[in-house]
Amino acid sequence: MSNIIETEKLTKIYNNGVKALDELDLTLNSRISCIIGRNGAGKTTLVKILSTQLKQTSGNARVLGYDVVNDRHKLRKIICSIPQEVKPAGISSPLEHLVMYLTSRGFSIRESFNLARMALKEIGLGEFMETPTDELSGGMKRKIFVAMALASQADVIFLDEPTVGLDPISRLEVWGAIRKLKGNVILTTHYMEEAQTLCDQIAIIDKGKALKVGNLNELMEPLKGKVRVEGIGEISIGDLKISYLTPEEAKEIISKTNLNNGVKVSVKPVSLEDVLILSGVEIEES
Amino acid sequence: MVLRLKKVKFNWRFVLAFVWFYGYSSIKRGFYYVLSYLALPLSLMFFIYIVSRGHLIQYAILGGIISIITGNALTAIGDTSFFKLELKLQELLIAADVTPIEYLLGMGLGNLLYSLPGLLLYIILGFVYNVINLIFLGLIILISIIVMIAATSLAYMTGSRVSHMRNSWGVGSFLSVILTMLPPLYYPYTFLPKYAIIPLMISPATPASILLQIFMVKSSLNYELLLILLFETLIYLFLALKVGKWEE
Repeated sequence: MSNIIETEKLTKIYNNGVKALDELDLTLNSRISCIIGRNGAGKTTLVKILSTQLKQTSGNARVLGYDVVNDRHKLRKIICSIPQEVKPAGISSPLEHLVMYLTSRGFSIRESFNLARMALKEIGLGEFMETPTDELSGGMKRKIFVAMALASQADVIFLDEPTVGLDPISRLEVWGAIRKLKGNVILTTHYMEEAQTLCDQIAIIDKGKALKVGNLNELMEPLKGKVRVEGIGEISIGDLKISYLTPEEAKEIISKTNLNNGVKVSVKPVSLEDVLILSGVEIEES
Repeated sequence: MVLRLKKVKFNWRFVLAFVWFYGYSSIKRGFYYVLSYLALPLSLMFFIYIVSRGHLIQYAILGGIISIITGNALTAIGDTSFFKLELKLQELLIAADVTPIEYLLGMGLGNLLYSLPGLLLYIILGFVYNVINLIFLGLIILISIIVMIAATSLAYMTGSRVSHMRNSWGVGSFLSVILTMLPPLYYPYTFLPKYAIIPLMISPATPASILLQIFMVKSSLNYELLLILLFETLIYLFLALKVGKWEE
């Protein structure tokens, strides 16, 4: 069986000389996979190449075994790609958006109406399907595109930062909608909580290279039994110093630290964010 | 789950759905826009009527029709950029295998639908002032469709190459004024010296307007101008598909 996505030495250099992807080797196989990384890590470029919107400079990429360049027309029939910061046209309704999109994928007009109505109801927008989208909340607007993905019946759905800029409640609403998607989902995000909550497999990319790939437990393994100590440590992020220690080590080091010098120390449980921080540090040191 | 969709050669369904999405929703929920695109041609008609003491009203009516079509088609400059840069609609559609010609046609026909309330008003005025008869109406409809395709192609070619939204509305307004106010839309083309007509032919509104003015006066179709208009439309369509920016 083909991998959901597979890249080999995938490189993208833009006309202005920026190297967004640097010989990226990446394979993802889970139903919901996440690509995480800092801003500018290459996530959006990767999704654009995988969803056939952008050509790579060199290397290969395949989605369900289809080459993204040579088989792009076949591939477009089985993927759905929701771009980063996509917005609905304020004057049109969610139903109009979905029908327009579904006909673009080759569904008949009757099928498009049926699928659109079902998807909008399933995602909780049933009573707003005829409302102009400029009267909807930010979360509802974003859910229109998740409904699009749901109705598309695509085998692979790309969601590029689907919750960026949303308030926490809207974000939870969109997460609920994403869980309802039936195809394989490739999701990019820089919200660690989103990746932890939604994804079975997580790839960390930075500076156009894949640093780590695995499920949450595998990625968290190096930090097992440790806590994050803020205020003390050798890792600097801006003014913040961080170290990863066992609780006993943390207790000992805090007891030896002179807290009267204005040093504020706090101890927190580790999360995926810490895996990302450590990955980033590894790059800077190498 | 695996649904293999049939390969569609030319996706008319999408074109129709886009017309509904883009054109119909604008009439249904944005009727103030209809009033807004009518404001200038109607004001000019009033002005021409007063200044010419009613003698040039027929030019104001024909000019209004071509002006609405060309002006609305050229608003697609702003819409193309807005859909691409702000809404990311173009990205969404590229990954769904929509072709630029389907997108362009959807936009053009959507604008034609959106222009219908204004055109209807002008056609009624044309009948009231005995400017339009049924044969002339047929010609007006044909010319309107051709002009819409030409101007939308021009708009798509320009709008898809705009890289920042801040430039888009300005470029659109500028071209709209240049391509609808300078050509002989609201005044007889005979007022213009011949050397001035040739550069004005860059606007599809120019051959369209002259053709309609000649038909209005002589009741005969000028095939030369029709060919020029058709040729120009094909050139703009070709340029839109070649120069316009669809996939990166």
